[in-house]
Amino acid sequence: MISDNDSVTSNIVSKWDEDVSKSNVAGSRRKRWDDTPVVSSNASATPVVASGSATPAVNSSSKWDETPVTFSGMGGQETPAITSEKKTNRWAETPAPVLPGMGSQTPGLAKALSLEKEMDSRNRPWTDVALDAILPTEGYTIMRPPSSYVPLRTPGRKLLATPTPMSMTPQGFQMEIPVEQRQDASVQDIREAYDAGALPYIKPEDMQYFGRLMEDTDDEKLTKEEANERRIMSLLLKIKNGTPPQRKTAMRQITDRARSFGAGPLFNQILPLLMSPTLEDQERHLLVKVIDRVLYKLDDLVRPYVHRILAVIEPLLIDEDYYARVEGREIISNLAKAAGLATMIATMRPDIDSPDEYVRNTTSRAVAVVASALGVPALLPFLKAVCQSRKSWQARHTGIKIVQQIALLMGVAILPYLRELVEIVSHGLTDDMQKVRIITALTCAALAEAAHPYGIESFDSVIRPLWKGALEHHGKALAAFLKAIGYVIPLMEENYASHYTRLVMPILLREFHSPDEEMKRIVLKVIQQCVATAGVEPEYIRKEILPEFFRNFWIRRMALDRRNYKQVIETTEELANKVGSSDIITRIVDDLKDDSEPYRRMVMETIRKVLENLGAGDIDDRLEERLIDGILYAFQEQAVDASSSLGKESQIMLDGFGAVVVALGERCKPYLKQIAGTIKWRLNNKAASVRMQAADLVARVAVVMKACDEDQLMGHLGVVLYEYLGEEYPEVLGSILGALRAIVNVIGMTKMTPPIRDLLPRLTPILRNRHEKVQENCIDLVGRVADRGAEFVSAKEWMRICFELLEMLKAHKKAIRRAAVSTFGFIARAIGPQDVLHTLLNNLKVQDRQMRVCTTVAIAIVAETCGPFTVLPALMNEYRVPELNIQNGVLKAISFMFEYIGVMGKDYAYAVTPLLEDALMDRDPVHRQTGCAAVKHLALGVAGHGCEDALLHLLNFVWPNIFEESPHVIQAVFDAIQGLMVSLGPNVILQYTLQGLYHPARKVREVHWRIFNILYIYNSDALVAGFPMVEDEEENTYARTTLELFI
Amino acid sequence: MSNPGGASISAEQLKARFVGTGNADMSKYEWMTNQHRDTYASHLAHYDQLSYMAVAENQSIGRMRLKLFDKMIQPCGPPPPTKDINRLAEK
Repeated sequence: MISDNDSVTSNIVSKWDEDVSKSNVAGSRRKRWDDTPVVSSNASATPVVASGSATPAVNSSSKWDETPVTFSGMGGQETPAITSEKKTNRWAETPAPVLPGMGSQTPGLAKALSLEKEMDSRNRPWTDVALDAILPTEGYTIMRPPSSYVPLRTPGRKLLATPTPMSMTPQGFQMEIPVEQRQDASVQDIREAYDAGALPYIKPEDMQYFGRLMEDTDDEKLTKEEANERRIMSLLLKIKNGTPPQRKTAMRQITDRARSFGAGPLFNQILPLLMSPTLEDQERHLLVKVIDRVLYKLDDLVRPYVHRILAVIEPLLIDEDYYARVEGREIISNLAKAAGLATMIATMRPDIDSPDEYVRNTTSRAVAVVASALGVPALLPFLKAVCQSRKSWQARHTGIKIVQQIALLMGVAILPYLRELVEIVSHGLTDDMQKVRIITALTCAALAEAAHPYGIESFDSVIRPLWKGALEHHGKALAAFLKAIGYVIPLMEENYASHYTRLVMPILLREFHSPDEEMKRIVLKVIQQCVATAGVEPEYIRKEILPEFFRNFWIRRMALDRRNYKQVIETTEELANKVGSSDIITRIVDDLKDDSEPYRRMVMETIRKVLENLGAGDIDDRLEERLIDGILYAFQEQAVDASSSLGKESQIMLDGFGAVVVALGERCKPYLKQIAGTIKWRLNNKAASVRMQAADLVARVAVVMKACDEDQLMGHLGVVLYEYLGEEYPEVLGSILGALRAIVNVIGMTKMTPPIRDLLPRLTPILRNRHEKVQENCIDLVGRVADRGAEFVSAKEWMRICFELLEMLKAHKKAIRRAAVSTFGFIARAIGPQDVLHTLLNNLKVQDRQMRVCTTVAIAIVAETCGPFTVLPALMNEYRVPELNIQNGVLKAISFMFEYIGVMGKDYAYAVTPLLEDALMDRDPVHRQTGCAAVKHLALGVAGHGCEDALLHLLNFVWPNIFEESPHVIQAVFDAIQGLMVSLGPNVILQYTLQGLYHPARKVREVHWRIFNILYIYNSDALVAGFPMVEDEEENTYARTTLELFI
Repeated sequence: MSNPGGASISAEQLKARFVGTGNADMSKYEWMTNQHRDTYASHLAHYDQLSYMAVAENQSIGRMRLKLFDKMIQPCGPPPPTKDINRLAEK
């Protein structure tokens, strides 16, 4: 061997490249037969480019045809949905380009293509670079090819591998450059491309944590610690950046081996990662999950690391991201459970009187989390000691703050300990330090808010100090005390509440003038709370509060700050609930014509809330006129929003207008002409948002128009909207469709103008629009027509719509898919199931799983609406196609069908039994899974209708599947068995189960006991009659003699 | 939130909620005891069965009920000696 090798090396100088020179020699001897195909291969490229790339754009005759959709050039094979018609309108354009090879090909071709691509990449030749990157440097030698070896280089063979024209993209075909030949490819890229080492990609910013994994090391030279560290590192990398399966196994490994890795090495790596500034939300979530699992396993081993973990996790508690806060809480609570209360308290004790406010803040939140994890009672003695600390006011402050955080965190769950918690903090109200007094008042507020509406007796000890504090303090402290009083008053009984309201009111009225914004908000909030209590009389509010309130708070400046704006509206709403709508609306209605737009909005929103709560019964004729006048003015004077979407501002105006019209109802009749005029005028506006708002308004007022018998006006609006169907902006188009639907809904199919037979053909191309809002509104409208007025439209048109609907099944939004699926049912009812079914069955061949699932649901719905006998024969015939997706689709459709038809299934049970038999015996687990689902629905549907023989037969086919491992399959099998339990009775299943309960193999026993337990849980009483007779043994009598009694 | 404990907790919960459920390691004695108790419980819960048995045994229904309750204590007799391999070696 060695000598051979040596001789070869001596002969040939270069190593791998030698064959090139050989092939040159071969090339000189090449026959002309070999040459020809090269030319022809060039030629074959030309037509492809001509047909693929330029054609659609060049040939398009008008600008309407300029769709971004890429045509692949072989129209005959495309799905009809895309090329069946020329696109005639701009709104029918699809905004997003469909990926080549996705939309424009039949699924079969796409599949073949992807297969071909995969084979290509698998069969690509190995290069030196790739081999060097993958194979270790030691232990391998590069062998020389035998000198007699001449590689086979016939271009004719290569021709066979020419990619098919179908794979042409408009840019022309490009071979993928193998990763090792790319300029910028690193060793890591190559390894990844060849799936070597199976480590996920390391992001550049993660190199500092995982970089060492890239170094090649010899496992034997590593010490045990180093090997451990590397192992943890690679597991963490897989969890952080790996694929879901990688992540899953890594997660399991790190959990299982947590104790052997040890807390130190684990947290030394996890904590820096968690602190990394570039951490994404998803990654943080995964790491939090790791800590969770690891903590659970490590249990008390984690104790020495509690402080370090807390130092990292506590900042999460005040993160601005809600999920970060939740995850921080979760870790701390698990940490507390693992480390125990004593360790947690010992660790956090020094931070409680830390001079740093930030540390105290985070610590108080962390202790609150610990309290909620380990139970408040366990922490009460500690809290009591901290709150009464003589040593430093910081400790008292933090202690009281912990109580506040506990209240915020646990909500009503504090009720059992409310008295203790209040008593712990009560002395803080008279503390020397103002800061402590403020936090105590705020804590009382938080406790009262959490306890609402219970627990006033627990606050007995603080009411007097709170009251005194409110009289004595000024500024910020007063605000805190007022807040506490505001939260305590709603807990009180009527007469006390009324008493305290009267007492506190002078202070509140005094503070109406306060320049402090925070104080204003608190005053407003307290007013809202006081007014809401039962004991406060409307007359008192009218006399004492309203004049001052409107003078001080209903001013333009209040509308400018977002929080003030909200609080004023809420308080006014509460006042209106007490004194009635007209009192409030009379005071503010003229402000609808105010110069300041934010102020008009504030008025509008208040009027909407008041009218929605109380209705318009209170409003007299004069006020009604002023109101309508005001809303029309405010609506017309809105500042134009330049964007095409509806902003929050215009939404408020729209909601307000709609609410007023709906509240007034038939009283609107005299004003409807004017309103419709405004709408028509604004539908013509240049700004898209204005048009959209106008269309949305039509949808709101349509019901009222009907109530006012303004059918003619509505018909007119319908025609106007119909003319605007050429709208360019999808958002606006969606609103116009929504408005049309609202009109159709109230006016009915027969009276609709334009007539349905004109309207629907206009909608068909719009169905092709890919914008979600357009799709949703359009499908709703079409579905409505199909449901109520299918006879106005020809069957041909409905079929056209069917094709468009198939595309809708791809929609992301569930509402759209659901609407599309039920529309199939309506159409099938209108034009008969045959054609619709044919379309749907064809659609089962597609790749996209979501499409297939939706299609099966549609088939089931068609079966339900048109009767299963119209669908089942074709469906069962389709099962004969030997293709996985189709057969599964058929099974799924049958499963859904039996779910929908319920008892009706008894007429079809025998018909489908052979098919289900076949499915349950199939090699493909999905067949069996779906078959089981069908059996379940069948069994549940026909329970008690005499199909037991068929079901028992099916049970014999279901039963062997109980040993399935895959979770989905086994779940389906158990579901089927449970379904059969209902229809066959538990004892039949019990007899099947008995055979395996004491089987020698544990795996067999486990499954059977699982089934037995299900039986027992649902039918324990019925099983009494079915238990087997067991012979007595030595001392034990197993005969159940009571069953043998007879008279 | 996540449940790091996994499936074992649910098995315990199951047993706590439905005492008659079993597992792959359940002995014949345990299972039969459960069956007997379930049977008596069923008799007790169905008044018609109880009265039927009372007639058959010529006893009052109250006594019959008490008797069934009493039988629930070790319905199959005392538990068999544990078949511990170490113990078997001693014999």
